[in-house]
Amino acid sequence: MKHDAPIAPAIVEQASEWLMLHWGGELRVEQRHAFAQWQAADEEHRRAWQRLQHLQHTLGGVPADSARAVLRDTPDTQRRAALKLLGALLMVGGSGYLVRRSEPWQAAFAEHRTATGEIRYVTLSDGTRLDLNSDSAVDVRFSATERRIRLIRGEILLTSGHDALRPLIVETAAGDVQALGTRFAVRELGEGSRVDLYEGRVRVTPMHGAAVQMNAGDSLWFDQRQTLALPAVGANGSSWTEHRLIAERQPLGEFVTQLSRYRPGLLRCDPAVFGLLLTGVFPLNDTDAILAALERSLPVHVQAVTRYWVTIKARV
Amino acid sequence: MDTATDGQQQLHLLYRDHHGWLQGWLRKRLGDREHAADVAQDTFLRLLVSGRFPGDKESRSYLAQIARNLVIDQWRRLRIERAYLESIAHLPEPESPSLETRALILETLMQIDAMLDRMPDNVRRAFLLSQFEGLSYAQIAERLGVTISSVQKYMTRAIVACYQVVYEE
Repeated sequence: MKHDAPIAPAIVEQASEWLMLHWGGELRVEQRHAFAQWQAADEEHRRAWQRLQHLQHTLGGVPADSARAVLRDTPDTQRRAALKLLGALLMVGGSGYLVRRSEPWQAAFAEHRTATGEIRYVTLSDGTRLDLNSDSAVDVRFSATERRIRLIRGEILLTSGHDALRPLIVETAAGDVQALGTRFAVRELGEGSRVDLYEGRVRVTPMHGAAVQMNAGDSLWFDQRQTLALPAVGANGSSWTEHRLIAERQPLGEFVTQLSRYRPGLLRCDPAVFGLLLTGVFPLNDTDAILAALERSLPVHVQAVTRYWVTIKARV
Repeated sequence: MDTATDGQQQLHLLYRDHHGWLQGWLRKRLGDREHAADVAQDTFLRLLVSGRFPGDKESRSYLAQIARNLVIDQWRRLRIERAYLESIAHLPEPESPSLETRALILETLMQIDAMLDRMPDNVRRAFLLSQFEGLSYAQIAERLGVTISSVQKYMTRAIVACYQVVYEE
């Protein structure tokens, strides 16, 4: 059918040049004449131009900020290269695992993921319990010689048995956390990782630094080079695995920061009420209810512009 | 024999001879039995829809090629979907696009992404800066450290690439 027939590449090229000039700004008088002449000269010219108009319409169908966020260039270029490489590996039969290094598409490989607000646990093949906190992703690789869990984002808590033959290792961008029969949480913070050890012992090895041994009750931050001891979290730190947040005389600002992990959108706390102390057990399955509870128990007002934009202020 | 039944017959033979192999091939690479089964199924579906069947000798490499493209498309879709949803997550509810609008925008983003894939680096950069950052050609030239006439060449190439994705595939 004529309407669908391919158009000669030379004509497509010409039409593209015209569109390029139109995009560049207003055409000069002589350019406008030339364009009119070009259009009049051949039906194929007009057909090519029509197709480009349609294309332009398509491009305009995406809000610019979404397009910018989704198609942004810098990480994209790496992603493209990685995608090609991965395609090549699939072709020749590589494992694919080697190139799973650069975000953002790597989350697609994660064997276990949670959305914002979602908390769940899985039992791994060796009986280890893996709790995933809100917005988290891991990639589980068990082999004959090791049990390796790569934390891509978010936070996990592991409750594992000791297996002398197959060490359990959590790998983050900052380095490895090796368990020695234990219960511990690892959280990916972007600039390093945090480890909270509830039971047993673990060894933390920054990618380019010296290994550190942790004992029960310790908390530690580390990046690729260094480690830093943190104040211990206390037993309540892992209450999220029971879908609860527990506060014991906790400053409101700190609590709100924790809570914000379980809600999409913005949740802010006015500095004026940052220091109010809060005590309570809050079920995470309904964060709106938690906000309502805050209003009842503290002199605060929860101002919701929308569900996705909430500020906690002093009550007036 | 008419073409429909002919196609079905060919598909049947291909399925019988290669489905198990393809599924194993995928399982080894994806490390996930269910995912492998899905992709293998989709591969044969794609084959049926396209109506293009490989000759005996290249059956397996042809099937593997389709499967590979399917997997890459899935990754691509996942990545784009996630980034898009993140980009609208902060929007107050009344401004949040409807599900239908989202689906349309996602489709278009997939298409534009395929267009970008056809562009060399500088061409892609110029195209993104012009279309989504609203920069003039002069500003783009400055940003990329090239002449304005180079930017114009890049933009023409970008438009041709877009055209090819929509009209020549």
